[in-house]
Order: sequence, then C-alpha cells, then structure tokens
Amino acid sequence: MVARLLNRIEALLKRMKIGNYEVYMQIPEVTQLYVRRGERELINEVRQIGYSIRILDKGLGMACCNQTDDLSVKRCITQACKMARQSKAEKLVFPSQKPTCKVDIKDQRIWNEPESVVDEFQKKLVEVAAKIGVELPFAKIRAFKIRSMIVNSEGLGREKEETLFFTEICYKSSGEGKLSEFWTTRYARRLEDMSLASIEEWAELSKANLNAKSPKTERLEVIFSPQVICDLFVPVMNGHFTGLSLKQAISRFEEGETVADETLSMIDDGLHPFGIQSSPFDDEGNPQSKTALIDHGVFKNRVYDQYYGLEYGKESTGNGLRQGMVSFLVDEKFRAIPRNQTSNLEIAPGKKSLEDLISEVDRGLLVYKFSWANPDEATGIFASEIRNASLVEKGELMYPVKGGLIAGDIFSLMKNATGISNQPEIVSGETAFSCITPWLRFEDVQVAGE
Amino acid sequence: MPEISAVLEKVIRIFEKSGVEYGDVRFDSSTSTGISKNVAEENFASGSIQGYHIRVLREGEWRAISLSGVEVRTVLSSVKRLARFSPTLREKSSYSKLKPWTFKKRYKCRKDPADIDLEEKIELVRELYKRMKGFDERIVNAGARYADDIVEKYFMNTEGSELYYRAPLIRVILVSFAKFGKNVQVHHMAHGGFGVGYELIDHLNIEEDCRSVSKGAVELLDADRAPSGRLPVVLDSEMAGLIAHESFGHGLEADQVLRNRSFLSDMLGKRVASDSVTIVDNSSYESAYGSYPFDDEGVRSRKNTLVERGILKSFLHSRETASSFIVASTGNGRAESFSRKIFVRMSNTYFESGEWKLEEMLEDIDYGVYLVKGSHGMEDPLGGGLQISSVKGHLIEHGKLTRLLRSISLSGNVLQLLRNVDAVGRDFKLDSGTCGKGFEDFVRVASGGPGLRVKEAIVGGG
Repeated sequence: MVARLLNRIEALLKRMKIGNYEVYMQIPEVTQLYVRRGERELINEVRQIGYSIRILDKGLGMACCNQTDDLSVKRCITQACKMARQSKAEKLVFPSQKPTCKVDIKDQRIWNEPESVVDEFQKKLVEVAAKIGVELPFAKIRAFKIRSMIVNSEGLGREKEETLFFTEICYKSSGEGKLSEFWTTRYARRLEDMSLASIEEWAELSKANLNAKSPKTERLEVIFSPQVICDLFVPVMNGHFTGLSLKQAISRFEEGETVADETLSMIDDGLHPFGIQSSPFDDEGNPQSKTALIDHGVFKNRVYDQYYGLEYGKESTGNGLRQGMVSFLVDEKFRAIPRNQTSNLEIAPGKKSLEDLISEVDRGLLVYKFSWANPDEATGIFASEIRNASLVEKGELMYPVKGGLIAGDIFSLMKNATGISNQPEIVSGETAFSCITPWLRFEDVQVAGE
Repeated sequence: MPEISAVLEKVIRIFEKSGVEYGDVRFDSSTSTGISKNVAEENFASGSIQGYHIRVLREGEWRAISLSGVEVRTVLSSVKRLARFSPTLREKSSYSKLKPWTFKKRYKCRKDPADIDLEEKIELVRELYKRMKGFDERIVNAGARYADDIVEKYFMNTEGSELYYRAPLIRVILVSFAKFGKNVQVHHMAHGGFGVGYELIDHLNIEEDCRSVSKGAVELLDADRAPSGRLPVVLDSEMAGLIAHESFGHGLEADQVLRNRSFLSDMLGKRVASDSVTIVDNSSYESAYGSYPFDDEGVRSRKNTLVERGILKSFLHSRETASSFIVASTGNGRAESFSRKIFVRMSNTYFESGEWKLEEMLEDIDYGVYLVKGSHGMEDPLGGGLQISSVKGHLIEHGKLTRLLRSISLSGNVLQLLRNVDAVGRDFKLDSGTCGKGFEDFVRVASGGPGLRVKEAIVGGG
C-alpha cells in the first residue's frame, strides 16, 4: 500500500509536469503506554501515514499531508507548487543518489514486539520502585517503529526502517514529612540503552533528594552528567556549528580559532551505532557522516545540509534533518521542513573515571539534572535550576543539593573545562537533541542560592 | 464535511452495540500555512493533517486508538476490535457524567485567513523582516514568522453529545539578533489569537513592534549581568504569567494530584498566596490563544477561579480526574493532537489585576530587580520549585529603574513567592505560547496578568 501511494504521488507529479520535486514519506506505528501510580492507565495505538512534498520552481515550497486519497494528494502537490512559485529564487538542487554507510538503527525486539516491550518496561519500572523503596507516580512509555522513504526528481530513492524508544519517568520518595523526586525523559534506539542500572540510579536519586539542601551563592567547580551536557551544549553548538548559523551571521566560531580548552574535542557523528540521530542518510537523502567540529579546543569544520553545502561550495555532510526546535519529532517528521542541524554531538572521552574527577574537587557540585537547562542558542547564556545534585568537598560526595541556580554561558564553560570522564553515554536531551558524551568538569562556575 | 459526522455516528453505534461503559470519538483537522523569513532563508509550507482519536472505557479500563490516512472501513474495523478488548486492570477508572449537549459553531471573523491570498501573507512577513533587519546595522539577523491554521473538531460520545467547531488560529512571531564583536543578544515578541481572523494583523502596530524588537536586542548588547542572591523583585505581566502557569498552575492539574505529585494536594481551601492574589484559568476568554469552545472530552469551556484572594479554590480537571474528586470537570481535558493522550491542561491562566501603578511598586525598593519579558519556565509540580527566566530586566535603585540587565532567572519556592506578593498592578496583558506536559504533549496556551511586586525572591543572572 505504501509503495503504491509513493508511486501514485510520483506519477501525479510527473503528470502535472513538475520537474523538480522530493517526496518524503513516513509510516509510523506507535505503541504508547501511560502509567499512573505504577499501574497501567492507558494503552494508545497510533497508525499513521504522512508525507511531505517539496517542489522547486522559482523557489522552494513544501506541503505535508496525512491523507492518502487522490484528491488530498493532488491538493498537497498544488499547495507545494503555489508555495514554490511565490518563494524567493533558490539555487538548490535536490540530492542525487550517493553511497551510504550501514548504520545500526533498528532494535529487532522493539520492531517485532512493541506491545511486549512497553509492557515489560513498565514492569521493570515497578520492580525498581519496589526494590529501591520509592513510588512511581507516572510514566509515559512509547515504542516507535518507523518506515520512511525519500524519492526525488534526481533519481534518488532511499528507504529505511528504524526504532526508537521513549520514556518519561518520575520516581518519588517520601519520608519524615518530606517529598522528593527524580523526573526525566530519554530516547533510545534500543532497549539496552535504557539500562536497569540507569533506572535504579534514577530511583536512588529521587530518594537521595529527601535530604537535599539549598546551595549557597558562590563560584564553584562543577561536574555535569551526560544528560546535562546534552541539554546545555547541543542546542548552543547547534546554533553555531552549522552552515545556517554562518549565513545567519550568529555563529561565534571561525575555522582555526581556539574556542575551548585543549582537552575538548567534539565531532558530529551521524553514523554512531544506535545514536539517536544516526542514520545512513539524512532527511533529504544525503549520506550522513562524521565531521570533526572541535579538535583539542580548535574549531575545525561546520556541518552542512544540501542547501548550505551548495551555498558555501561544500559537500553536504548529511545534516539536513527534519527535527523540532523544542521537542523531538519522531513519528511526525514529515510535518517539518529539513533544517541544517547537528545530528549526534559526540564529545571525546578523557582518561579518568568519574570517581577520579570527583576526588580532585576541593569544593564543588556534581549535577545530575537541571529542571530544564534551556540555554539561549545564540548567546549561550543559561541560568538553570538545580533539581538533583550533590555537594563535593575534599573529593567526597557530601549531601544532595536541590534548588538555586547555576548560571553562566556555554562559551566560557568550554574554555574552563578541567576534566573529562572516560565513559561516554548515548543520551537524549530533554529537548530535541542527541549526544554521546562522558561527564565533564568545569571550574569557576556561578551558583546562586541562599 | 458531513461524511465525518456519519463516520463518527457509526463509531458510536458500534460502541453502543458492544455494551462498553463509555466511548467517544474525536476527529481533528488542521489546515495550516506557515511563512517565515530570516537573513538566510525564506520557508513557505502548508499542511493538511487530520485524524481520529477513539477511546473507550470498558469495565473501568481505558483503551484508545489514533488513526489517519486509512479508509473508513479500516476505522470501523479497528473500532470493533477496540470495543472488544479484554480489561485486565485491578485499579478501575471512571469518568464524570455529562448531560448530552450539541454545539455547532463556525467562528465568524472579518477576514478568514483561508480567504487571504498567499501573496499578502508573504508580503507581510517580508515587510516585518525588512523593518526589523533595517533598524540598526548591529541587527545581524531577524526572523519573522506568520502561521495560520483552520482548526476543525468533531466530537461525539455514547452519552449523546454532538459537537463541532471550525475556528481560525493566527500567530505572528518576531525575533531580532543583535551582534557586536562576540556578543550576540536576542529579543522577541509574539501575538496570537484563537477564533480571530487576519484582522489580528490589521490591529498590529507593525512599525512599532518591529522597532521595539530590534531596539530591545541592540540595547541588550550593553546590558549588565544581573546580581545573584535574595532580593526584592518586581515582575512584568509576562513574568507574572509564567508564575501563574509554570510554577503554580501545573500543580493544580488534578492528574498530578491523583499521581500524588502535587505540592498543592492538601491545600484546597487553604491560603496559598497573599490576599492580593487571585488566579484564574479561563478557556472561554474571547480570542485568547489558549481558548476553545469545548475541550477534547466534549466539556464546555469556562472560567475557573483557582485562587481567590489568596485561598486555593479549585483544581483543574478532566472528566476522569473529576470523577475521582466527585466534582464536575472544569473543561481542561486536552490533547496535543489526535495521536496523543488527553491530559489535564491549562488554557489561559492569569492573575487578576489589582490597583498599583508600576512607579508605586518601585518606590519602596532600595535595591532590587525588575524582571521584564518572559523567556521560559519549567514546572515542579511535586516541589513547587520555581524556575522562570526573563529576557531582560532593570536594576532597581532607590525606587527607580536604573541599569539594563540581561536574562534573569527566578528560583526558590512558588508558595513562598506568592505569599510575598505585596502589590498587584492595575495593568493587564495576556501572551500566547505553547505548553508541554513535562517535556512533550504541547498545547496552545496564554498566560499573563498584571505586574507583581514580591518582597524577596532568589534571582540569578545569566
């Protein structure tokens, strides 16, 4: 049925004598399980077919639709044509077929048994709650299996199958009249990236927060968890590493410039096995790749999509992604315009363990989670509320810390890195970003509290 | 679209025959146009997204399906399967009963966005961009975005309700980026309305809005970092709205209370704020961005007073949570789209106005901070913690606004803050935005109110 729909759309485009086009199609199946107080609250199955058509006439126009009848398809094409005629002239050419690398992006278990997978995950969450002695007030669990296809007038034809697993979990603890929680969201390509150890750690963190104290106002050394790094760094790097940011004149970086401590190296790795934004090809059909961004503190390269590749005389690095600005688009990517974005930001690991990083701190904070980091993409400024942290004194974890703010800007942080752990993790941010990063330590960071 | 109503009727007949406890079906349709321009790109896109959300309660257990792009016979066969599911849960759910009603409304507006030429909308966006970008040579980028959406909702349930509306939604967003050396600063503005047409654009003062956004960004280049610590603060209406919505309102969502996850769980009838504070959620507020005539469970919109003179009066309810509390639904059951679950959500949430002028609020403050223009916020329904940030602000010295400050965040506890509100402004403004249930499930909302003065709060400069 899907292949027939794609053929029908292409046939109609040709019949309407449209010479330059691209059709992106998604067929998602989503199994959603909502949990309340440890019990299943609702199962919601989602079945959808969605497509978007981009047409290049004078300029570029896009229309998207999730109806499959001939009239709707024709209306969608007509709308895209109308948009393309009014748009400013572009020198875009849709990508042609090029070789791609094989990348693992599909968990066979999620693909074959999504209902069992979400059901078992719920049970796992409940078991952890019982084991650690905390409550599970709510959880959202979603298993995605998605087929997507791209064809265009340059003869490109791509198809892939991928899985994603999403959870939003809240573990809550109570005792001596106090309440505390650990509340987080994660995406993963495969189940093993939602390890039992991580889930148990989340439950433990909720319990630890019962004894949390507010921080003092002072400048400290801080160690950030991989998720905090993802939430703080990726949005800002995304706003400065791309061809788009160069064109927008907001990029702070110039090639060859020292922008970070020499211990920091970053790549955009669109091919990392089971990376959340990994894929053989991007959402325009170009091969995804690995691009060195910062090498030992020195800015090296930008990432490009098809449009900015042509604009700056570079090959696309496979960074034309249909992704949201705030929340992840998974099953409704067809509704988004491809944008020049980073894929998986990978920070090179160091040689020391997390324990080593902690042991070297005289006075500082180990931050597991902010309420919402949300840095300003352009300025890099952030002032984020601490939800789960620990005070470190003379190399030892002392007591949990909650409340108050950590404030600063990402560009200064990059120059103040003092340590990188040796264990990178694949993590998603709480907004639309993906990272493969270890724990990082920074000096002289402003904490605002009592 | 009479054929949609016919499909919905067939779904209800299947439910009735299968003997389910309750069933409803909603058909959401969105026909949208989005035009944006910045220094790098012009993007024009349109969308036509539709789908069914069908849910059923059988022996105290909910089950739902979301479908699009399938033929009617597939919808009906899926519904037959759904209606036969075997419940397994020990903990039973219920729903508050609702007298059947009918509603049919096509919102009348002077200029239906569907009737406005694409060229006119494009010209508007180009004009907005040109004005912002041309304001000053330090404006290195400007972004203008126009979006309209014709929203249609059909709803039927096994109680006999039959509801429909068609309404336009409009939103305009302006952003300017100023740069000097490595220093980049951003300023923005947004306008939005539900049930209003393209006349919203006619009522804008385009010249003044564009100038204000770009001027704001340029001025921030020379702004200072805010002081950190515990200080007296004054908040403008946008920041007040962030508190009403993010910091306080999320704790009033009754599903959070049922999850044992609200700092307000046992506060009904108790004092939660100073007696100058009244907070309202009003889904029937005319033309506001978070308004609707009925929620996604078919409950009529209404004004709900949440806090009256400092006393907590009501939680926000869906039909399911209302049943648990043995009260009527407040009409706050909303879903992001046909493909997502209905949760308890806010609509237009705001503080009611008071008597104070801004100058009067400032005059008693020797050293403090005035937070201006909401940037973002995050809820903490369990702990009642605050995290909201402004785009900018001013230092208050000896009762006067002095140095311009860049992004300021407010931290601490919201109940402490609300109890410390000692002056409420006479002004009033609502701002449009979107709200997530946690980190997902976004719905359109508005928030605001008057300016507020707080005796002291924890602030931090970015």
